[in-house]
Amino acid sequence: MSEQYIVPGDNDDYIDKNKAMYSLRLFVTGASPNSIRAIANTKKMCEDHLNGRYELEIIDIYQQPEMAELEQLLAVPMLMRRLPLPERRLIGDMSDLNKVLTGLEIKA
Amino acid sequence: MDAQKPYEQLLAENRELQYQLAEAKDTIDAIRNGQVDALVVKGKKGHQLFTLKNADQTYRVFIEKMAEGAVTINREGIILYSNSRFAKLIGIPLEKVIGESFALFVDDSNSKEYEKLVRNGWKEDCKGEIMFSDTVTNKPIPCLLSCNILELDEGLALSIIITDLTSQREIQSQLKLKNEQLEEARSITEKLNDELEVSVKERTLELFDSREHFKSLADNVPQMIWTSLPDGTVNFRSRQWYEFTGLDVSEPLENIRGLISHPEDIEENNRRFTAALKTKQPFMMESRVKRKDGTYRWHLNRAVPMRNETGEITLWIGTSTDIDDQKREMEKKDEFIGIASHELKTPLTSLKGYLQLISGYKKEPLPAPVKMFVNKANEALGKLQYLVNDLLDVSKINAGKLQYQMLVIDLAELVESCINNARHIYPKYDIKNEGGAKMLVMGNMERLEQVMMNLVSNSVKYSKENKQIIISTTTSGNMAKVVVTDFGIGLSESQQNKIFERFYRVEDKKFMSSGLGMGLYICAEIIKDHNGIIGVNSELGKGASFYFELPLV
Repeated sequence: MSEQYIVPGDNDDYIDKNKAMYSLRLFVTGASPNSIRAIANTKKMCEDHLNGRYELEIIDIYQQPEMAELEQLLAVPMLMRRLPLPERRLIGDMSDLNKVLTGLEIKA
Repeated sequence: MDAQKPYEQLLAENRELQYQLAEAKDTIDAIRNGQVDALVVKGKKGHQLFTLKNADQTYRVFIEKMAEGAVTINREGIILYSNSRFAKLIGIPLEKVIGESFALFVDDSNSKEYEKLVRNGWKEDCKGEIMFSDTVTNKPIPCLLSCNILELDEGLALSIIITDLTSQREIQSQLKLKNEQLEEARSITEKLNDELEVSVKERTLELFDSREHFKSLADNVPQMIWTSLPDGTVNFRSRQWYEFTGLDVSEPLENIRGLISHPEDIEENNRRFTAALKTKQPFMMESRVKRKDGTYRWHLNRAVPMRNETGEITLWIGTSTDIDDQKREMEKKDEFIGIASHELKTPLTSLKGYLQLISGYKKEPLPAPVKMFVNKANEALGKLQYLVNDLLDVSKINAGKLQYQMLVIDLAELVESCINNARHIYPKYDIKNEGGAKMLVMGNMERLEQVMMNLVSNSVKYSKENKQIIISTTTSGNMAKVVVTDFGIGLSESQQNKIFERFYRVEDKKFMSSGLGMGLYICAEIIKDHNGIIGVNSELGKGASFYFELPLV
């Protein structure tokens, strides 16, 4: 499955995405306004659209710099879709829900 | 574009590229729109972080490093920020804490309290104790939560400082334990105290009862009762004192003795009582007490010491018995005895004279029976004279008129002559003389002979079966001692106590004996007047040893 590319228009693929377990990781910097917004927005998005099938890890790179190192970060806050593959990255406070859903390929 | 590639693959690649492009565009947009706080650049030394908007780094570090947990939650209860201390406290990795609902980590046992606290926290700053659940040990962790409303750009958040109270609780529980132990000890002490109090109360009541009992007893016996402290201070006088003397109960106790004692008795009374206090021996004295009508009445005063369990004297209990009537009766009796014996003596003397005249009648020979009758009459007369003399002595003693002519005499010699005399009178008795060394005393020959003969005749009188009598003379210290021992009926202890009293006779149905019971009384008075001691040692049925001691010259 990891080798399989996602093809738009493929019904099975969408069904698959809708059932798939999402593993997300949000990188933030402490309690900065963007971070806080990003956390609140991400959490809400997950609860609304991925209820029961997501895992969210929020990493404060101030407090856990070693986690940041592993991920080749460019800008924070950054939301990373680790699963399903391929990996996707969104930068910002996640306030634009449509953009986030599109970016993470979640059916609205 | 590689035309060899299948269309679908190309489509997928295109799609992927589009995503990456969108991602890059979004990143740039986010940076441009100020949605980015920091850019992370990998430098030569490795990872580097560039903060765009410089947050309050000082406070941030402070919060990150502090010993308390710091958490910020939004209205929905989602953790927007948590320091690592809090994550460590509940045993969950920090990345799993942020973004979670804060309520999730609260121990189920106090969810309601938590909700209430947070609800309140959104209204005003507040504090409260909440238990968290340690996911590792599953034990509740007591914490103090202090909630502060935080104004963020997007609205309000609740910042919560979490202080672990575990060690404090431990100290508290230890303190509590200690407190409980203390409380227990205190309650034991209290219980003991209560018991003690109860027993003291009981004792007091008993004491009160017994005091009341004593008081009512003391107030109701006809005698006058008093008690005094070991130093002689009178601390109680019964009702009868006040009735008899007419004194008011408010009269200070220390004044009473002086007010009611006869002036002639007071000095002797004090002397004897002081001596009794000193020697701790019972006190006894006759003295006069002033009645409310002003007349003095004779009283017999006695006092005995009362001792505690260690033998210490705690109280003297005294009685004063009105013996005035008896004393007057006795005086009357003595007077009568005096007169009677005196009156008897004259006819006896003439009777004796006439009997002597009869026995010495020479004009014509007397018939033998008459001679015998005269002898019998003389014998009886002798006894009668003896009794009358005793009576006279008694009345003289009581009147204080017994006269002595005191000379230095050898007591041993006197005893020996008495023994010789007694052997003549009581030829059937085996009278042994033990001792005999010279013992010089100051005394009246006739009176001491009287004592000796009295003791010997007493021994004879009460030992009709075993006819042995032993008389010994010894000296011990500065006293000469004479002992008359018989092996007769002996005396009981109560008899021994009374034997020297006036008119006392040992009653024994088997041994009918004559006499008025004055002999030993007279002996005792004579020895007393010689500054001597008289006494008896005896066992009932085994005989008696009468003795007297006189000071050597």
